[in-house]
Amino acid sequence: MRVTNNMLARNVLQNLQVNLARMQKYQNQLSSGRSVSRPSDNPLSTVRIMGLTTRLETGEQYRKNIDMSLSWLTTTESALAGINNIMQRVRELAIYGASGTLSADDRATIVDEVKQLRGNLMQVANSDIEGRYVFAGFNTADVPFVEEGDPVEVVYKGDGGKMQWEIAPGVTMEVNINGNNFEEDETGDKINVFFDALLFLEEKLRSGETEKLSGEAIEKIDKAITRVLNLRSEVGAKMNRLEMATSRNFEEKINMTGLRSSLYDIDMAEILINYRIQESVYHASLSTGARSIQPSLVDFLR
Amino acid sequence: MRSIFSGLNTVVLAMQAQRKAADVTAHNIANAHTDGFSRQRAVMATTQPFSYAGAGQVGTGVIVKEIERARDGFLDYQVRCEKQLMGYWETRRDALEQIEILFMEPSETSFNSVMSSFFDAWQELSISPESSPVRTNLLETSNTLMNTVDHLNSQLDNLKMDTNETIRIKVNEINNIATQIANLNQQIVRITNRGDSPNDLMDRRDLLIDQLADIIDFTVVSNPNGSTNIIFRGRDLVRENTAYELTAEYSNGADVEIYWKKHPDQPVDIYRDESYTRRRDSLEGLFSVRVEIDKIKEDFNILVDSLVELINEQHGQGYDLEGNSGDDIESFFEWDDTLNRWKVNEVIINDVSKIAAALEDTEGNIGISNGLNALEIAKLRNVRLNFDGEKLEIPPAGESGHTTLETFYRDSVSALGVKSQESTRMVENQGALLTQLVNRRESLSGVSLDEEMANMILFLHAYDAAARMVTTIDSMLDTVINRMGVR
Repeated sequence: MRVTNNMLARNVLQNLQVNLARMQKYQNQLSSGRSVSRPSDNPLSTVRIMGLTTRLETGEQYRKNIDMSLSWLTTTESALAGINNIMQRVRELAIYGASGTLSADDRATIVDEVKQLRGNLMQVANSDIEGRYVFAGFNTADVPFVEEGDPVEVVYKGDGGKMQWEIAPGVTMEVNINGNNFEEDETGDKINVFFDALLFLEEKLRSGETEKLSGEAIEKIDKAITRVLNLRSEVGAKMNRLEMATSRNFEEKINMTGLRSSLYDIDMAEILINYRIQESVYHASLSTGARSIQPSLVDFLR
Repeated sequence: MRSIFSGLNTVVLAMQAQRKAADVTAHNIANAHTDGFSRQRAVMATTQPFSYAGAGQVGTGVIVKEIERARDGFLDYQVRCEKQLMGYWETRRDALEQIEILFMEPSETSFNSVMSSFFDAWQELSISPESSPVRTNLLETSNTLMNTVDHLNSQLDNLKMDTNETIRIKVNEINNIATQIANLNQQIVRITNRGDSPNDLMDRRDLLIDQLADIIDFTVVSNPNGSTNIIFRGRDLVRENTAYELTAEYSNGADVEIYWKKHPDQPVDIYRDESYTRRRDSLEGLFSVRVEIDKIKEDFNILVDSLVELINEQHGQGYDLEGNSGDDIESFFEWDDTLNRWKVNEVIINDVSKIAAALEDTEGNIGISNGLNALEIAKLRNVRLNFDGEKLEIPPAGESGHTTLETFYRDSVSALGVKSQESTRMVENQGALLTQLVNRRESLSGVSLDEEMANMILFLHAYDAAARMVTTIDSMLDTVINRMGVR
């Protein structure tokens, strides 16, 4: 093959271009830290990276949902624990008050304490988290339990709303316990088992019906205690589920971050070495180019 | 018997021929770096010999018979074919790269991420539907989503406009080159008729044809009189000394179509059908790019329209913060006729409590912390949808669809990536092939300075020797004239 000066020059230029383009590619990867910067770099990886990015962002949202659910349930749980404590104390008082040896004055002091406890119960039942009443169903802005009328009656102002929060893809959880869960059907009427037990106790203490105190009142209180225990175990189970969801969410995050990183991030050492190799190739082509372009027969003719 | 002076004549011819050859060498060296120049060679031939009776023939000298250029028509043909293909893939690569840059995938600011944030905002609303900041956050995220959609759409429109403009520019270039070729044809025919070989003009014409190959695919026909005809899409673009121009017009106000100026009734046949197996060129590349942009835009807007429809449909089922429902619920997104884009409903922009986050549950509760509708909307991202070619729809109950909103989008990004990757690879391959061919052509037609220098010395020595011959003949004549004869 006949080789001309133009060919040499053109080949040198072309090779320099190719080398520079490769160097630029590595330099891009080094400065961005990404092995894929455009879909065409690797269409398959791109799609997977996009999917993983979405999953990671969504995972972050689910983590927020789980945290929110957990704090909601923690508030619920401590309120229920409070109710439990109150009911236990009320039970003691009921047994004490049922004793026939007490005077009317003694009973009056017990009534005072029961009233006090009713106030506590009211406060606990109206627990809120950031201004949202936890036992109010969907009506979280209004105080759910209100005393009305004479004789006093406790009225539930909330509704039966069950909050469904998504804690993982396709997994929703009912996080709230509303006032309806405190109620019970009694001869067609919805009755709040806790306030009902307290109000009944108060009334019977005042009237001194000791046989009712030891019988029906204790029965009502026990029913209320059973109810609160059931609710607590329900909440406990949910919190367990949430704890598990948290760790699954976290594991998923670690897995996916790793997977995405393996597709998306560069291997610094590898790229650096490649870059160095490319750099020396570039230098070599520069120096050979300089040498091969320069001389011609002209240089050797006198 | 020849005269003694005839030797002198031979020497003069020799000196003339060597000088001519040296001139050709000088011309070659001068044009060593001229684009499209092919090296020339003085072809020397002996003159008519003189017959001595009985002694055979004695030569009478040398003549430069012709100055030929080193050129291979077949190599030209090959180079042009590959240039045309190269143009096709380069055009596609450049445009597809631009589209890829528009979509910015994968990144944290791409449409993929914006859409993800949008659904996350609904998710957030399902947790705290009564919170005004959360509602406002959803509004802002939705605005960002639709702004991104609008931005991408207008960028794609711009790209298409650029493509149309490029087609017009290319058509002007074609006309320009065709006219120049026709002019050169005229000059070449005139010189050829005189019996000369217009090497430099032919080089210039070949260079123009090469440049034309960067734009279009055509057939070259050489005429016996030295002119060349160029046939483009079944019609003469150049015949003899006439160029038939093209014109690019916006047809129905949308896209540029190419017509023959003499036949403005029907567009020039540009093969847009992928199954049509033929050589491709840069012009066709531009038309194919236009098709790609349309396709990508169509897919993208199928996605956006379906998203809007699904969201609005579900949103309409819900209850707003005041407990309104049914006809009192505005659609979440609305079409803005003046700006020609989707946006969040003006009513919702002015009052975020109009977002219908609640959904009536089995007991009919719609309190302010009811985020069930927001949850339903957030769940739409994972719903497997049916694609009927026009929009994405929720499949009938009991059936499962084939794609989600997000995978539909990812599929189209992936298709774009594959196409762009293909064109980049083809450009690389084509480039390597073209380099080979251009090198082969250069090997034949290129000027080698070493060779020219060697030739120069050759001619110089021949010229020197001829000059010495003059001296010799001179002394012979001196002998005959001055020293012989009667004293």
